Amino acid sequence: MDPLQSIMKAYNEALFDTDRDGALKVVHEAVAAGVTPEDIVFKVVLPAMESMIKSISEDFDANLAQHFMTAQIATEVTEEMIPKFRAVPSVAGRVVIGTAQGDMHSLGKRIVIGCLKARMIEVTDLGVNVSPERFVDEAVACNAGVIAISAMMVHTARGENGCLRVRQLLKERGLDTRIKIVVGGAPYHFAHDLYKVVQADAWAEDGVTAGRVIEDLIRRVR
Amino acid sequence: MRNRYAQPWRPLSPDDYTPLIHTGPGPAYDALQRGRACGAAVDLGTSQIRISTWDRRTGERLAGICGMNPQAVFGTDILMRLTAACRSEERAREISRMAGNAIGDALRLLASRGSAGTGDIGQIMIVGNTAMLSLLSLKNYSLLLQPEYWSREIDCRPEDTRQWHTDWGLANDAAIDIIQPLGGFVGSDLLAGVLATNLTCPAGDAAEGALFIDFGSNSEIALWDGAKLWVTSAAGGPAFEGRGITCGMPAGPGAIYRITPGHSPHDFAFDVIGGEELQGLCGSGLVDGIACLLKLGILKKNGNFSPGIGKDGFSLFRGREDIVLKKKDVDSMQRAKAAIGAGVFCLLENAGMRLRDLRRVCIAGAFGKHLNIANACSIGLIPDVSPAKIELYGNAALAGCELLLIAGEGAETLAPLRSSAHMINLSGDSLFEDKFIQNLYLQPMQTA
Repeated sequence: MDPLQSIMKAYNEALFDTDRDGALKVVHEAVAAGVTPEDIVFKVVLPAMESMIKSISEDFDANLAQHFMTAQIATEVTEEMIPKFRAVPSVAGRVVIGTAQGDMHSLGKRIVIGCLKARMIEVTDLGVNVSPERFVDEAVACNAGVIAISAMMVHTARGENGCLRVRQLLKERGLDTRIKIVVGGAPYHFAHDLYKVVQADAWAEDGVTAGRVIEDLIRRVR
Repeated sequence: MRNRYAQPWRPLSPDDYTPLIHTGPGPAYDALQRGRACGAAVDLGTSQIRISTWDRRTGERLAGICGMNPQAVFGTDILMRLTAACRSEERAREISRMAGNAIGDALRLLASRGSAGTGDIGQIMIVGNTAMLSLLSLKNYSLLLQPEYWSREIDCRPEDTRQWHTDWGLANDAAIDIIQPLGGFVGSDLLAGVLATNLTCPAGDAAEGALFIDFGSNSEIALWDGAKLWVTSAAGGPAFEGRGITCGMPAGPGAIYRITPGHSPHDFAFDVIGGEELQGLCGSGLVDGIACLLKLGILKKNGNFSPGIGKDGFSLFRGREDIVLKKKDVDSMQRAKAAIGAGVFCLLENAGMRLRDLRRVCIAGAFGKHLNIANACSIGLIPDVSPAKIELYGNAALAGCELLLIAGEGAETLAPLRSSAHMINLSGDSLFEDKFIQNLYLQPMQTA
């Protein structure tokens, strides 16, 4: 078996058991045996996260705890590996992320940030309860191509101080061709067209998808 | 499937009450010299409403009753209800009326069963979380959807109680007191619970640490460090009350409140409230079920079932209707108890205390007095301290409200608690998040 394949298998097993220490042990042994930190992130951690999300997507609500725990392990590994990369990784793009005004649910955002970092996307975390003005000001200050807004409640997703207002501000300031908006959170799962109603450019149902969707948006604004 | 939540009002049994520290003739009545003989204490909970009536002359409880909060049709948690109320004034009035009518129904039911006649009631005291109180009084409820107000004082005093006087059949001179909450996310139910458990009493020995956890849809936690009362609330989720659980039900007749291992590995013995035919699992039964399966290795520490147990979950009991435990039920409990664990950690951190500094751990709320302490510790629902330090209370909020009703100073009794209280807002706190994820595992609470 290809050594990388056996590493993937061992890492996946540890992840399925949500065994943090086991997963870290697999990674450390692999690095000691000469596997590059780049391969750990791109060929082990990211595919494992994808297959984990795929395996629970049918019954997402039954696996939230596991989702949080595995994402935490993936983030820990990624954050340990990135500084060890041989070359300074080229930044794929910049994103500002936060939860909508009035929304204090930050765990979904946390998972997305981990996934974005693993894709070499530079993320500025604006925290929770972020005003629409701040989203736009910070996006401009960071030269970000994408604003990511997390909302876990219907009223913060649809509300006048959420995505709708961010869109309005982007238009007023003539920024809406340069900065794209992506949304995520429970209300968007229940109504797949809601992202259009709130005038976002896209939505993502989980961290892994968010990584792909945001990469795509970044290409579009270039 | 039968709706385990469609339960009528049921009388509170002696076992439902928390013994009061102060009993005897009510000084309130003496102080008034006159006034109507009876009083009522109301704990307006998100899931359940509890009411007891008192003879203020003798300081004796006449009767008590418990029922579901009918507002649940607008959502089981407070955010859903606040959102519904903010949609229109009409809807808000409807939601308020539901709670008001439920209180009125309960008072009339108590009167018809020979307790205090509604016309004999001179005073009603109401405690609850801030959302429930503000929705009842139709005041400032929209502020509660704005996080800036969560740590601020929220005025829940109604403008006018005449409608309640009429609807509830009260005399014009009867006082209706809504005990003011501490802030946006800490209600007067917490203050009442702290009072009932005597959490802040000066102790003989040096170690003052006393922790209070009120488990419910909206769980509240208080830590007394000898000088300050650190308080917070954690979105425990309705799992503690059996809500959102496949075979969950409130702690009422027919609910399994205790599960013990039987003779063979997959055989269990059940204790059912009221000794009736078992219908479902209440919070303490759910805790026992999860702890038993964990011990047997059927459930793993991360919440996964062992291989071979599919989507239909594990049948704890096979009968006309199976009592099953599914992955999603375990997941709900993991998230609920992780919020408590992280909340306890953050309060200890703020107070500069360790788990070993705790002299008392007072458990109140959803689990009643039947919680199996060893099981609760093994899955990390409550702090892993010596069982001798753990005190189980039933509904401490109602008990605290009763104390206020019969105490001479009434709501003034809470003044020292209010002034020593420090609210800690955990939302968006990254330390809280770290500890939340760490506490998702089914293992003893991680507080270091």
